Amino acid sequence: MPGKRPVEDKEDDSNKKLNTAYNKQDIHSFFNAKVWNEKFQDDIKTQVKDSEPFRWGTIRDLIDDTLLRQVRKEVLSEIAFTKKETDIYRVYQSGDLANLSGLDWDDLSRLPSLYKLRSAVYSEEFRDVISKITGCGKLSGSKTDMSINTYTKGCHLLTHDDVIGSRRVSFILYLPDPDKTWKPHYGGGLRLFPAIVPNVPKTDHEVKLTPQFNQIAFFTVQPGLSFHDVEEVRVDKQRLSIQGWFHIPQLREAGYIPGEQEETTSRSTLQQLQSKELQEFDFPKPFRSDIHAEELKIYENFASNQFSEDEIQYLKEYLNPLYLQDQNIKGLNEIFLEESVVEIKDILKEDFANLLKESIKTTELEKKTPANSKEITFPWKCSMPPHKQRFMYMDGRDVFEQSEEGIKKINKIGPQEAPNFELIKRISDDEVDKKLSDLGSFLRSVAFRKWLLVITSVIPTSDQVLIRRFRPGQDFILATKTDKLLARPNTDELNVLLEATLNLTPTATNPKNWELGEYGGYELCMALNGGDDSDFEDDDPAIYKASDPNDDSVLYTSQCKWNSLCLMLRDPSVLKFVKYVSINAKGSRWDVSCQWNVKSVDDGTEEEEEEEEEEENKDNEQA
Amino acid sequence: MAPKRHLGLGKAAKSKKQKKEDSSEVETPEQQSNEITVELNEEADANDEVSQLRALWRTHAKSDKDNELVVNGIIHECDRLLRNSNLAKNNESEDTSKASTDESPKELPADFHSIYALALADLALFHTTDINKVREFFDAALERVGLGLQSHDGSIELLFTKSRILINQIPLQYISQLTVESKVQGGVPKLDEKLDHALEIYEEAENQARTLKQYELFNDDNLEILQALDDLLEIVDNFGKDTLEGDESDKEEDDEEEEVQLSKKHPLYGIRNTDKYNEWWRDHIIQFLQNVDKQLEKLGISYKQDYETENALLPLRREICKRIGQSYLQEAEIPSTVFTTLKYDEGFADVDQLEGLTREQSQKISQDLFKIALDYLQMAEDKEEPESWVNVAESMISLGNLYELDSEEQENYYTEAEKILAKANNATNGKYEDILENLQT
Repeated sequence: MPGKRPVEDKEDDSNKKLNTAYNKQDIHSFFNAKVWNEKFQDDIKTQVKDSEPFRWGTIRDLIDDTLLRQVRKEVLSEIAFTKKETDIYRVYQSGDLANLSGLDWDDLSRLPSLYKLRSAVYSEEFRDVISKITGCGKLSGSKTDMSINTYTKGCHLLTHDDVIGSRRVSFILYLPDPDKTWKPHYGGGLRLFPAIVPNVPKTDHEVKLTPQFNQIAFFTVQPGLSFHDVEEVRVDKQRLSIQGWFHIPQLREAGYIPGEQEETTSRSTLQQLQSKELQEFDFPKPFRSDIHAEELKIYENFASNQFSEDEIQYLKEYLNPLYLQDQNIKGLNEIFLEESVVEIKDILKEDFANLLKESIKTTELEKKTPANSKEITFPWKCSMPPHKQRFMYMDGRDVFEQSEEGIKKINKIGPQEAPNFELIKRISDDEVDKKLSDLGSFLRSVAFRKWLLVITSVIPTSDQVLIRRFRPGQDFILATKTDKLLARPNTDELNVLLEATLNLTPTATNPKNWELGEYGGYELCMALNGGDDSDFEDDDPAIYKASDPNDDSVLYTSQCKWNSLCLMLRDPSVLKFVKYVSINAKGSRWDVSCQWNVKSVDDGTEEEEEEEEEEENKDNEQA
Repeated sequence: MAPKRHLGLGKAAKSKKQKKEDSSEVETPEQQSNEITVELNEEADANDEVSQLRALWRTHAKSDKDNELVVNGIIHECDRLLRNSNLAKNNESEDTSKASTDESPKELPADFHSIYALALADLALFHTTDINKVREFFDAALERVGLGLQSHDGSIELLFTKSRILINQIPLQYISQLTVESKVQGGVPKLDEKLDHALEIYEEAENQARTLKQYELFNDDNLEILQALDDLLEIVDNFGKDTLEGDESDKEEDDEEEEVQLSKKHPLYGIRNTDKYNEWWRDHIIQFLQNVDKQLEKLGISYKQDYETENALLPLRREICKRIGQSYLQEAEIPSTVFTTLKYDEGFADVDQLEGLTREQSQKISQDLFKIALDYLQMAEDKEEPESWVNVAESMISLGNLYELDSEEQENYYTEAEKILAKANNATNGKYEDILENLQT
């Protein structure tokens, strides 16, 4: 059997390969001559030193203009881009360029300028310039790491810090149309976020770079600090870019320090873990308020499923009377028990819903949508931090300042009041806030909890109600899981949460606005295999194919809707996210999100089940 | 009912999957197919072959028209129906005494021929690189329309179809073969003559509709004929220029490329160097609007009213108004530039006339044009489409610019425009921030 490694024909090779050994003069000629000017380098060094919110820099007209135009032409004619979409981005990606030198002559001949460019970027000469102006130390010439992306209308990349493995400097070389100015209102800007404390970026960006052809932006990868995003491209234009990283020197390279790679890698992993565990700065918190034992008794004794006249009367003020009919309740209950999820259309009573719809629509047209966290005012707050989520919410509590001190006060010093939507309804003078708060109160009523019980056959033991608004061009929630242990110790709670999303997006009454998914805003649930911690060590964003109905890791998707309630029993193996809402969406996604700890209606069987479950868990562990 | 175990969504899915994997049942994976769904409308009889053909055609016409298989399918079906029809006719002539039991209609309706011809012409779209095929398909399509008109003399539908095919033929079969140096000579025709012919046929359809008082065919489908003409005129205007990348809707004036000059012998010269076709387009789209209004009148529907469920003619009406409004905006461009240059540009302080217009003339002409544009654009407003409000606001600003600085008229137009823009800006998350800021300063 022949060896698996292809035997290289060395004699032939020299003919086939491009001249990879460019001399110093060649390399210099690939760049704009100013790059090699000491004074220029010193100026950039100063620019970087004085930059905010973290150390970064940019150079216009970096590469020889003819060469870069040629690169752009090659890329557009020779490289195929595929659309990739996850919870954190939508982008058209090309393949990895790291193996360019390994391609055969045919492939190299197709991309000769790109090949030159890569040699130039990773040349010792240019690496030394980058080292000098960033002060980051030596950089590897052998570990190259580049990719080509194009951001077209709707493409975006949400906030992240680029910290992975041995990355030392990030760079992005922009290649939009060379004969046109890229204007700020096209979107696609590189935005930099300051940190409140390390690992916690502020909600609003501080700096935005509008990229031009042949401009490079770069920054030292700074764990916990270098948070940035790519603003969504708003128009039908191509924002092509080559982006990549300089890594720390590898074995047998100048500047190689034994152990440094391992240290950097482990530091970045540690940082990621810390960042994940740093929940002190997460708002809103997944804290549910306990339902009192006296109230629980009401549900425990509500076996007959018979609502009193008064209860029916109250429920009818809000709910569609169809869903108070025994037969329909029974039907929904069966679906829920079978599927663990049920979607209930037109859940709210028609006139209540219509009034709500009209007032939300009016708000969207008459009032400017808050463009940053400072424009958000009581009773609304902005969720944070933005590398995990951003959206407006009302939780029935007071507002607080999003600073280190403000957060310390609310977490550790100040009053810990219970949510009170009724109070907000009374003091707010905004029609939408009043109506939504009213709904919030209703969702916390005994009668509604009873209704929930008959639909789901579980008893709520704690709850949280959040009224949310996801603004176009800003808001999202990245994939998150719940705690592994949902049932609290010494309770008979199930290790699941009952979750509800009451979708109240008025623009969804026109189906063409959201149904195609191009404006995002959809909620998606995915399965973590097995549901244990090992699945989440990998920090890659949850990758899925939105268009592939056969992808069985997707458990549930829901586009923005008007007046639709989704009830779901969520176990710790379910990842959930709300996709970033496009700036071109016709309005915000509005919803109410609720969570309840729950226990089974029947204590007796539950014990058996728990035993069974424990058995099953043991089996899984053994497996 | 005894409560089931509450596993939760993830675990329930996993256990279902487990069960599936455990069982020996093999599921056949769903076949990827080229199937298309054809919706029959309410009146369509599923057993009537021509109705089925109509439904199939509508499905194709509303699609992206990128499926050659479907077009071929339609043509095969047309062939079959035609054969059956001829057969039935022959049988009848052979034995006139025998009552015909054949369910196939002997005389195929006008729209059968129309569908057949349009399908043949659409085939050309899949073979644009092969000029011989393109020619063959257009010849066949025109032959089919001709045969249809023989048996349905004066059919509005067939006349529309014929003019549509003739218009589409110009870019696909003729312009595609031209360069800037091309000349009218052996085999290369003067394209204005071709276009004149196409437009004559369109006028015939229009006249016939007037005579018969049948306006139903002034629908969104046939509006495409005027759109095709508009596109054609644009192609001719841009002939010789490099094609641009992406959306150029916001291109700046200094980005404007020079028009490429054509010699008098060029086949496109006669179309490019006259306003007559733009005027024709304007006259006939206004006529189109009037004919839509006649249909609305018959139905007792007013476009001014809000309806719970909208008649399909109303969006069509708005679309027509938008296009008419935009054409007036375009026409106002030159005189309004003349006015602002003569009035505000110091470099022209000593100049009395530009483009043959004085300051007063250009002011009056452009005000009138903008006012007409504004009327149409207001009729084109769609409460679901902020862009349609912005069109109104922008023409108000343009109109305001033509009045004295800080005059009452100017202030009124600006204030009104600002209100509309603020609303549109809210509805679109800041899309019109720039214009709004500009207006406020």
